[in-house]
Amino acid sequence: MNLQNEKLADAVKKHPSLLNFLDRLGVKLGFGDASIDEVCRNNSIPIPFFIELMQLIIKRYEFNPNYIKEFEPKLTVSYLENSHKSFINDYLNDFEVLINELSQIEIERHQECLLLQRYFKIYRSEFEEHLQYEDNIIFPYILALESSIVSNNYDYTIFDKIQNNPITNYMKNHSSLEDKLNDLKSLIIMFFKPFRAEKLVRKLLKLMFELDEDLKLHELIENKILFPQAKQMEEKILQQIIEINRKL
Amino acid sequence: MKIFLISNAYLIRKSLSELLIEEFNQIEVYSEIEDFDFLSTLLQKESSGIIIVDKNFIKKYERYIHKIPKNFRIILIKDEIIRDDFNLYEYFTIYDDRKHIIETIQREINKIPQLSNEKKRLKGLSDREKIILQLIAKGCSSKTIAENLNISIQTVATHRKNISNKLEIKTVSGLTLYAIVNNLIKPEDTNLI
Repeated sequence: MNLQNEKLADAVKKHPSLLNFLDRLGVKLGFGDASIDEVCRNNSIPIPFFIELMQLIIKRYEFNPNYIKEFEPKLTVSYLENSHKSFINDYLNDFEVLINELSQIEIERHQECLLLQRYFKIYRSEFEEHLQYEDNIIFPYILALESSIVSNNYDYTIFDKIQNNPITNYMKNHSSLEDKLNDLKSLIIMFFKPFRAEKLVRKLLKLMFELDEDLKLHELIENKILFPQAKQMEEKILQQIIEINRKL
Repeated sequence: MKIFLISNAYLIRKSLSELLIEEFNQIEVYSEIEDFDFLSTLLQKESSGIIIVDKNFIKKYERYIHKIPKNFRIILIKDEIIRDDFNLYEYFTIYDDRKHIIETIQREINKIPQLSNEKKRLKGLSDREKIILQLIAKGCSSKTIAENLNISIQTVATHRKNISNKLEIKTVSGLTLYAIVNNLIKPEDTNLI
């Protein structure tokens, strides 16, 4: 991991998408010329975890995991939970403000703005439902796998869950949050008559592109890091249960 | 259109993905695909694509390859040019130069039937498509649309796909909003209000 000796500031200047990443890890800016290694130590973040996520954010679709066995899945879960919060705070709330602002300016296009508000409301509720499902069902399941391994306690409940509803089921049905967002982008760029509040609409669009990027990364972290980690744990637990039964 | 690169050889993944990302829009790299089901779910998310694989992939999934939809084309990475069982596939070798590799991929992209249709696409929706879009915006299911227009569900599915491709709008809410903005339907007749 040669990367850990590099200056974090250099990496951030080269890849601004790391800003959200640092925020979600609780790393505050103003870290001077500290190396990645130093920043991790100061913030009590395990280095393999930091490097793995950073590599994914930089390399995106070219990324292949190298260190997923070297850090606890609960770190990934907590990172993704923080991302969920910032999806709401950084994007959805701002969208709402911008769309409301637009409807106040474009009074003569009241109906279209009303439609946009309504469309966005539907999007937001689907979005929140998706996040809640992960927060309440998927992440707790993964944490349960982890604590089962840590405590060496393999009871029937966890066995039953792995057998009947393994993480691959969710991976296969993992719905995308991007379609509705992309449709709204297409509609504004291609089909709505130009709005007078051009600057505001541009701001709205840029924010949508930003969210789209962030969602892609989020999905990649799930598909390339968290779900493979969960799968490994499931296999390990099943293996342990077979071993225990053999001894009985 | 997405390019999938699947190879468990690190050097191939590393170097080829670098080249692909410079030349093409969307790429996704996998060292290994655990089962064919997983590949199918990946492909379902895309309308078309190129799947670049090595011989290990072909060996593993030979029995299933015919199930890959026609809008996806396979290109094989060969480590040497020999007569083998894999002559069915377009290929390049690890010794080919950059230009040749890109040309091979581009040639395969051009063979994807749907993409060549897209290029020829009509500017607007046909009258039939407009009627179907109105029904979608009213909240009708494909089954109801099929019954109303006395056509098969498959025909409805084809129309829906064509409408989405032309407008670049995938979701029902998005299509509804399009229909309203273009005066194909009154807002109060939709679920959006």
